Amino acid sequence: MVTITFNESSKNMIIKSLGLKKEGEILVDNSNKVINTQDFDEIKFSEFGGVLKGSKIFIRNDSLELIQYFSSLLN
Amino acid sequence: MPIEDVLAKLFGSLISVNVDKSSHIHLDRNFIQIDDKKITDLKKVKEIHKEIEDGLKEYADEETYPANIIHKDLFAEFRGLEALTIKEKESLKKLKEIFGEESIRPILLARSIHLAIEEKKPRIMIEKLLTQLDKDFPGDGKKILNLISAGYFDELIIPMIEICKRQHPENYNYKFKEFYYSLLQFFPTAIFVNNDTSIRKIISEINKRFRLRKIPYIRIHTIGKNNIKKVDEALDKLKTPTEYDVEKNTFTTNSGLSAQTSLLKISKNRS
Repeated sequence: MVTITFNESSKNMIIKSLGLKKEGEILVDNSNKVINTQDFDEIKFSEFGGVLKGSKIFIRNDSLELIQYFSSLLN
Repeated sequence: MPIEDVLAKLFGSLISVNVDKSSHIHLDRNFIQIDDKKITDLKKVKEIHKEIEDGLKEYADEETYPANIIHKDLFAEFRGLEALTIKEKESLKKLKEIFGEESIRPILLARSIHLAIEEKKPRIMIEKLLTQLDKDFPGDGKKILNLISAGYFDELIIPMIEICKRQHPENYNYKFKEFYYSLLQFFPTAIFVNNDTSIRKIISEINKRFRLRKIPYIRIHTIGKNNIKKVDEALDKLKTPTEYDVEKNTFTTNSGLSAQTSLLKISKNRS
């Protein structure tokens, strides 16, 4: 599967491309809905780790959330 | 739309590189790396950024994006977990059924590291994953990795699910977890005998553990007829002031190998 990675220098561009914006420190979408993890925790701009395939799953830059995502694929 | 078409659309005719399903595209403000090809022409970089931005915006109302989009810091782990969940999906599903969502996580990460080592992935990637394992699962992470690396996870632990099912059909789940967690809890007291372990070494390892204060038992795990014979001979030759009872559980692994767990229960501790 193709993977696109970004770093701190390109994070703004990716966030904008995904139709997200900052509301204070928190990320929201164009309808002002708060962007959250699979556990419904809000995601701050500084924590943003990307979006995974399958219902647009947003994650923080945290390996445990990555593991949680792959674990959820084992159902 | 196939992913290659999507990317071709994203990049347009700005660059001439082959993008396939396993491609890794890294975006930096000043350059773009597509697998081995690095684009540093700033004008071109900006144009591609714009193409990607416009391309992704088209997916605003779709269920999903055409690719996984992740922070570079997560990439090594992402690739490891991706490869693992494709290769070992069935055995992992079996473990998840028993362990549940939380406890499967250190196993997932440890197995992905083992796979990366086996596939000789770059050292820097493996070191990063090992650091992550230690940080996220400081208690059991490395023990689990050691069990996997020694072959005991596949040859002993996973087959033990079926053994527990046969021996304790009503509560095999509980019995298996009891076996697994005691293995981790008393990891320092366990002895794993393989083809390179001599009888003398087995005896010395048992004696070393008998010297531990308040040790409740020692478990000797082994696979293969010759190794079982070595353990039996070592126990016959063992001379110790510690009083203990031996319980042996022999079984056959899924790959048809004989295996044995010898439990040395210490009945009188000198401490």
